[in-house]
Amino acid sequence: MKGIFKVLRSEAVKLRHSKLSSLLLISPLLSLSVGVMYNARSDMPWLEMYSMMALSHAILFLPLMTGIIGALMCRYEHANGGWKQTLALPISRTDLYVGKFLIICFMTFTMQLLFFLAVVAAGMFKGFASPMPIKEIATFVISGWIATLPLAALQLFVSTMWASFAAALTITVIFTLPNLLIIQSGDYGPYYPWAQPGLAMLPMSDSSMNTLGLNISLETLLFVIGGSFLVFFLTGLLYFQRKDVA
Amino acid sequence: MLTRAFASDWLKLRHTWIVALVFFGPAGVIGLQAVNWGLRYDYLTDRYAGILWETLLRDVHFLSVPALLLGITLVASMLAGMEHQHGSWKQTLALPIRRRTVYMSKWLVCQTLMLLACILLMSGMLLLGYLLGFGGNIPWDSLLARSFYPWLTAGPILALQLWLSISTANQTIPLSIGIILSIMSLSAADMPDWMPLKWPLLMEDSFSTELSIALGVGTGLLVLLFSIIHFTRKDVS
Repeated sequence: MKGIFKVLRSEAVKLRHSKLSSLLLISPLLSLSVGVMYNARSDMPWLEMYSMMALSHAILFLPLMTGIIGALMCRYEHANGGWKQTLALPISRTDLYVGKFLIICFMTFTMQLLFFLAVVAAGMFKGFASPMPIKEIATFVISGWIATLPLAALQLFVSTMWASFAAALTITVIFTLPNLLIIQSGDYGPYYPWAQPGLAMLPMSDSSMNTLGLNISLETLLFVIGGSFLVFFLTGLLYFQRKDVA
Repeated sequence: MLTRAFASDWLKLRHTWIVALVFFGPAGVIGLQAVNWGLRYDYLTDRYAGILWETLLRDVHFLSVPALLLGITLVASMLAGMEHQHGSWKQTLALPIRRRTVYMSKWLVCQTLMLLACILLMSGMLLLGYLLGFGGNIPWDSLLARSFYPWLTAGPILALQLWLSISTANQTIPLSIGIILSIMSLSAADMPDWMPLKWPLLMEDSFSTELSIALGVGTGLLVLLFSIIHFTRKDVS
């Protein structure tokens, strides 16, 4: 356990100059402009505005940004023989891998937090009369975050494997683009891991699907998100433990 | 000289995933629409009876524009990344070859790959329409337009992405910008006419197709010219 904390600290140092923090701001800022420009018509202005902001944020930006953050995690190691240096340190490879994964989770969580603040800011700018449904919106934001975990796991696996930043990112891009069609399909959407962040963040008419206070049905949470997370994370970890470093 | 530089850049593509990407992009777009049309065959053929080909082409076009922009982003970044990663800019630029030739050849490789992708896309559309049994009444004008005009009108974006990818070693920035542009292209229909992102959509109520292409190619060459000027003066580390 102690090893992981050391890894987290060293990863944080490496990320300091990577311009990652400005990346996290992009989607929340774009969503903020969407929310500010949108004129709600229904008697639930908060949720209506939130839905518009979530549409722009969750279907493509959230999975793709998770991919960029994941691809960024191994940039220093791939350049100039960084793997040799890092792996010569007295830390276990498992700790290093888990530490890198935790950093991705932390970054995506920060992005979700910023998106939440963007919703609050847009709503306050609009001056809605009704009170903000904080609990619902927080649920959507956290559900969306949980749904990105399998995507982050796959991206980290591919990033450790391929030295090219763009090549590694291709995986996430290729699997995210189908979201444009799949998310509309009620039959197939719930089974596609890359569509889950979008589905988890968009308000559903049927709230009986919720489990554990999340906007995700139990089957999807266990089998699609949990299952794909376990497969991607364990494959990546096993690969990394055996990886030959050049 | 340019042909030799081009040949050398083309050679570097071997053993990379770039060529595979050029194949997977169009295959993915066609595959998705094949699934879409296959699953809802009865409903869609009933609803769009008489304009089946046109509807299919429109559906493919809807996906192919963001896919093309993402493809441009990834391919430009990979082409530049090969040089950044192994520090080979120094080596390449130490050769007795003009810097503008080096840059032009990268641009040509990128354009050629995108053209290949568009040819594959066109063949895929034809194959898909044939397999779905839409008959021989193919709207060739529309087919050619939707296959190749997005490629021509995406010229400014290709030149911009290539310039961003080549001028910084950190590929995070060009990739993020390319991804943002691709996502924004989905809502480009509501943008003003002068936005380059709107041109590949070939909207009817926007510029005429000829003007869109002229603007796309022209702006693309202009951006290329500026990026060449920047590249020839750039300090290489």
